[in-house]
Formats: sequence, C-alpha cells, structure tokens
Amino acid sequence: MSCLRGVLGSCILAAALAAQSPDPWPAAFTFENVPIPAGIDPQIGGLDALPDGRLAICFHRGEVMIFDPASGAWQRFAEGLHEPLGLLVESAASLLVMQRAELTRLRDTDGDGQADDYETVYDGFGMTGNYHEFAFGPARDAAGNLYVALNTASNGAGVREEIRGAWSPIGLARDKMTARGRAWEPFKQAAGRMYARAAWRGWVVKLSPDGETATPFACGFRSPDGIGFDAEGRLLVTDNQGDWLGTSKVHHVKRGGFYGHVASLVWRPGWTRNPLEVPVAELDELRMPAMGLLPHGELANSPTQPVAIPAGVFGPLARQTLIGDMDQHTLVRFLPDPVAGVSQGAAIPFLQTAALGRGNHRMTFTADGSLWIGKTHLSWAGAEGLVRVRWRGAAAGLFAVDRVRVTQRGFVLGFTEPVAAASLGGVRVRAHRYHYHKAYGSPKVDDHAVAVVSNALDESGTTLVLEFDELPADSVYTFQLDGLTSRRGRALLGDRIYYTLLRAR
Amino acid sequence: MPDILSRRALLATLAAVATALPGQDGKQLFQSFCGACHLPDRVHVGPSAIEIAGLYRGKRAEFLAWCKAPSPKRKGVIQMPPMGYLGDAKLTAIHRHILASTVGQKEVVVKNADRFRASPSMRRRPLVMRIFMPDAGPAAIAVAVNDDYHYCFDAGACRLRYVWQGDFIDGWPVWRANGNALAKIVGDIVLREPRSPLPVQQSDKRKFLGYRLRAGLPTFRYRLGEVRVEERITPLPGGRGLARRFRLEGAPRDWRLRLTAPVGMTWRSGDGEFDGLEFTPAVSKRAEFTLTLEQK
Repeated sequence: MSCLRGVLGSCILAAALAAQSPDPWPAAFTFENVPIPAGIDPQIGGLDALPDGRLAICFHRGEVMIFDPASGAWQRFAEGLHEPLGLLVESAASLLVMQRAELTRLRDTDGDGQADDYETVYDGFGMTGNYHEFAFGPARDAAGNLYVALNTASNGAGVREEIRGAWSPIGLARDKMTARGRAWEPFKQAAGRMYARAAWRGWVVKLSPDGETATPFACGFRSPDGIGFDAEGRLLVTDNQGDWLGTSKVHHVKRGGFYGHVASLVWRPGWTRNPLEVPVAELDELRMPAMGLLPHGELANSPTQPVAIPAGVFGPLARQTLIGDMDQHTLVRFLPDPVAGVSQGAAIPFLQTAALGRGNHRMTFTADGSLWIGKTHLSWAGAEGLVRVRWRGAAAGLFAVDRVRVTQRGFVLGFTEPVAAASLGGVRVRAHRYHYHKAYGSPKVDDHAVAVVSNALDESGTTLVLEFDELPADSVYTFQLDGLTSRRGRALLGDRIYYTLLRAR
Repeated sequence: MPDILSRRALLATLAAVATALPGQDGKQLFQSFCGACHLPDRVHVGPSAIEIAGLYRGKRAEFLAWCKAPSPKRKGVIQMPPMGYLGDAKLTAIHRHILASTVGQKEVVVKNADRFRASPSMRRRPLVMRIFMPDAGPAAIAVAVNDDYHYCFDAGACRLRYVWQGDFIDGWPVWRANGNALAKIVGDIVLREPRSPLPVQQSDKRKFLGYRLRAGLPTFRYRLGEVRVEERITPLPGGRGLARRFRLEGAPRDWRLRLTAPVGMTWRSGDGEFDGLEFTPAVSKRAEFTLTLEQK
C-alpha cells in the first residue's frame, strides 16, 4: 500500500503541477486574427512584406491582395493564379509567385496598383495533371539566384493522358498510369505511394537571377512545402512524413544531394533502375541524412516554410529559424549545431499554444517586429486566414533555450535567463531512431530513456551541462524539461528539445 | 500527502485514475494523431468520431486493420494515410476513446457548397482563371471574355483549345479540396481546335512567355520555333462573337492558317483570303491580322 500511496502521490502532484502551469505563451506574445475581405477563400498560399511594410498575400483561388496593416485596407493586385503556394517580393511593383504551372513575375507597369503583366519566368518542369504536383518557392539566395521545389505526384490518383514536359519511362507502363477510379486501384501500389514521372518532380531547381538558366539542384524530396534560407545562408527545405520518411524533416540542402525520397531518382542523369526495386541499404547509403528530424504527432506532422527571425526581432531569438506546421498547434524553432561540416541541430516547439492554432503555412516579418502567418488546409488538416503575432517585449520576458551544443559525452543547453536550480528535477532525456523504408511513416525505434550521469548548471545559471555514459549517433535525443523555470519564476517557452544527432564532437 | 486521505477516498481516487488514464491517453492520442482530420461531431477532412464509432463499435480488429491499411472509400474524400506506425496499443486506445466519447452524441450536418461562387473575384468579367480544365493540358487558362463567351488557352501546348458560350466555369470541384478534379465548363462548346491554326511543326519548340492584361483581357505571348506570337481574343460589339488577333515576329512569307470549323458560328476576316478553312493573310497584314468568330 505504501508503494501505491507513492504512485498516487506522484499522480496528484503531477496533476497539481499541471493545474498550476497555464499556457505560458499568451503571456509573452499576442495573437491577432486579421479579417480577410469577404468573397475571398481565405486559404493563404504565400505572403511576403513589401518594402513599405504592406503585405502581399496570395490565396487559394488565385487572388494576390495587398494588405496595409496601418490602415487595415486591402487592395487587389492580381488574380487568376493556379494554386499559388509561394510569393516573393521584388519591389512594390513586382512580385514573384509560384503557381502550379510556373514561376510568374507579376508586374504593375502603369503604376495603377494592379499587375498588368504576368511574365512566365520558369515553366521548364513537368506536369502530369496529378493533384499532388504542387510547386513551392521561390527562395532567393544572397546572389539573387532563385530556388523552387517541386512536389511528387500521389498514387491517390494516376496521371492525365495529356501531360506537359518529359515523361520518365522508368516504372509502371504509361497506359496503366492513366487508369482512373476503380481501374486505377490494381496499379497504384506499383506506381509507388508518391511518384515522379514528370520532369524534376521531387527536385529543387535553381534559377539564375535572370531566370534564363535552370539547374536541377538536389533531389529526394516528397512534399517539400517549405523552402527558404536561414540567417547564415543555409538553404533549408522541409519534407513531410510518409513513404520513405519515417517522420517529417528539415534538410540543409546542398547541390547534388539526394535527400531520401526515392521517386525523383528517375531524373538523375544516367539513372535507369526503378527506385522501388533498388535494395534499401543501397538507397540508404546514397541519401543525405536530415539536419533535423521532427517527431510526428509531437512536434510536426506536415512542416511548412522555414523563415529567419530578423535581427532585432523577438529579443534573444533574433536570427534563429522558425518552421511552420500544418497539423500541430505550434511552430518549430530550429537551432543548428554543425559538427565537422555535418549539419544537425535542435528542434524546439515555438508558440505551442491553442492561441496559434494549426494550419501555419507561410510566414514573414515586418519591420515593426510582427510575425505574419498565413494559414491554409487545401482540405487536409489546417486552418484559414491571417494571424499577426507580436512579442510583448522585454518586460514580458522570453525564457527559452537559445543554444544547444553537442559535446563528446552529452549536451550543453544555453538559456536566455538564469535557470532556477531547484526546477531542474524534471529533466529527462530519451533517444530513438526511425526506420528508412518504403512504408508510410515509422514508429519510434529503440525508444529508450537515457541516463543522465551528470547535470550541472554553471554559475551564471544560463548554461546546463548534461553528460551521459554513452552518446550513440543517428538518433533523436528528446529533452523533456518539465517544470523548468527561470530564477525570476518564468516558465520555459518550449520545454521539449528534439536534437538530431549525426555526429558528436 | 497520502496519509491524510481516507482509505475509501484513496480507493475511489485509485479507481478513477485506473479508468481515467487509458481514456485520457486515447483522447490525447486522438487529438495528436487524428484530430487534425477527424472532428468529434462533424465531417471535416474525414468522417467524425461519431460516424467512426457507428462503423466500428465492437469491431476493434476491423478498426485496427483499417488504420493500418486504409483505402479510398468515399468519392471526393482524401484517402487516410496509414497509421500502423502507432502500433496496436495506441490504436486500441484511440478506438476506445472514439467509442466512449461519442455515446449519445448526434452528428452535426455540414453543407457542402461553394461559399464564394458569387463573390466579386469569381464573377468579375472579364476574368482570367488558371485552373485544371477538361480537354486541355494541365497548364490550362480559362478566360471569361464577357458574360457570354469564354475560352480555354493551354500554356503548355501554347494554343487555344476551345471556345464556349454560357456561364464560364464551375471551379468548385477543384477549389473545394486539393485539386484532384477538373473544373466544369458551364455552357456549350462552339469551337474546338485540335491543333494550333498556325503552321507549327511537331518538332518546333513551344515556349509560353506569359500574358499582358489590357481592359482585363489577356494578350498571350509565346514562341513556336523561331516565331514569336501574340494572340488576343476580345468581344465583338453587340454580343455577336469574338475577335482573334495575331501578331507574329519572324514568320515566313508563306504563312497560312489552318482553321477549324466552329459550331453555329463562322470565321470572317478583312485581313486576308479564305480558301475553305485555310486563311492567308494579305501581304500587308502578315505581321498582324484579325479573324472574327461570328454567329451565323
């Protein structure tokens, strides 16, 4: 009975603690839903800030609207685009928009505030008509090159008779790929869960600043909804849990890399084999590991755009990277920790609150420090509309982990404020891996508690050194920092850390 | 703390914990892994918990089997991704939660209609709308010229596909979800061109360059081999039909159009000579000429 009493005591204590821990995010940030004009399907495919602080926003049914936060006024800039899923401002009179069929430059040449020229910048990729062939981007590097990401097709349907661009003969015969409805059912498995029979599907393509030269840049993507640069100039691409992805990922993409989803290999120069028939061990050898694995159901189910927090915004988190997610009521904050050229790092929930909601698709910042989030769902999980997030400022505080560094034997966590030593009792560490396989998603593999042999807070209280007996690589280390508070009594914003370890120091 | 609890209270609390924990677990799992698509009381991306409970009450094994290997079941509904990675214990907890949480609940009926059908950005005329269209390549562009005449241009093939008379398109099959459908033409086809009327060779590279809007109507520009083409379709006064203007750069001297017979309409032009459905622009009009498609 005394043992039961102990268990019961813990239950009651945990319940009491939970009851005492209200959602800490709204105390530090404000969340404001911005009304969308009537008559516009409020699913947002892309948004970016104009130089003057207004926002350019594109919607599900093809409208591009300019929103002025100062006056609350909306103005139509363009319309009729096909499922635009990315927008990049060039100037107040020139926007780049990625729609299903092409990257388009929308220009207002007569100064009336509306685009009159719709210039095709890049359409040198294939379309089979399969609904899942979305197109994402563009992201722009410091030299002005543009990068777009092309979704694979889904075996939820086949392809249309009439396609655009080249067709790869590798895989199921084309006359079977065009089957529809019930006739498609017998073939869909052989097609692959996601497939890339049209050119450059599952690839990131690089365009020269003038748009004239297109270079297939990297492959192995399944559903790369998010493409962007971090503050250090890394090209980041997110990908969605499914076949060949045990969980969702963020990649640091480099030229020539293969990032794990096999369908796009058919477009590698010289590639001849059906990727579904290549031994998994060989594919595993070929692939670049993800910089960050985002545990499904806990952190992210369907990650979206990576965006750098500008200098001077969100206090101590300036220049860090945020990533959206469609399903979870949270964003992800990513802290890279490269070791000897290997990209890896920590993913931490950010704005993990019902006040944020789900469907967080596209993000941008304005000079006043506002984070603008456009939401969509396209009939999947998600939401609609535009949300403005602002930090309440230094007085409200922002107690968070701002550094995670792997060592030889463990990790060093840095905090934005001194930690209350007495609150460290709830720190737990677990480690797990994921399968790399054709099946859809992966359970956590070899999920186990990691014994923390030493746990030391430095004098300043802002650095916590954790040491383990051993530190196996190729694992996700989950740090549970339950109940951790600052010396000033602030709750930790983001009390889970998911560190993808490829290489220790 | 336990010392101050009476034995009876302790047992009651224990019983509550014992029954509540798995339920809590199921609820949390449902919210984390299912809740994005399945709402408790109404259809969302997938059926409601109430409907699922109706289908799988007393059928745990069937529920688990479905979760591990879902297949398309309902027309127009997205197929569920396989959830086998959760494992039997978690799926069982979810099943238990679905059954327990829906007892006595009633499904809220959701109307499936296009809320934006009559909105200004859908009803404006003229209107250019890029959307999946029937009988065209995937890079189709639908254009409402006015309240009566509409056409489909194909940015992949760089040519007009067809013209119809009526009330433009119903795009709801595409817009209602993720685009796994085609828009519907509302009206009657009056012209369907099986190929470009310009003498383009199969081997000629086609490149779509974009379009410019003037008075809301697009002037398409594209390249067929070495020839740069501009094509613009505008309404004729009085609702009589359409004018189709071509501007060509780099065209050879013997440039001749092969037109297709329209339905209930006829081709006319003052800019050249017809020989049946073959049209030769006058020498002075080779670089720019207009054809009209008029009601008979």
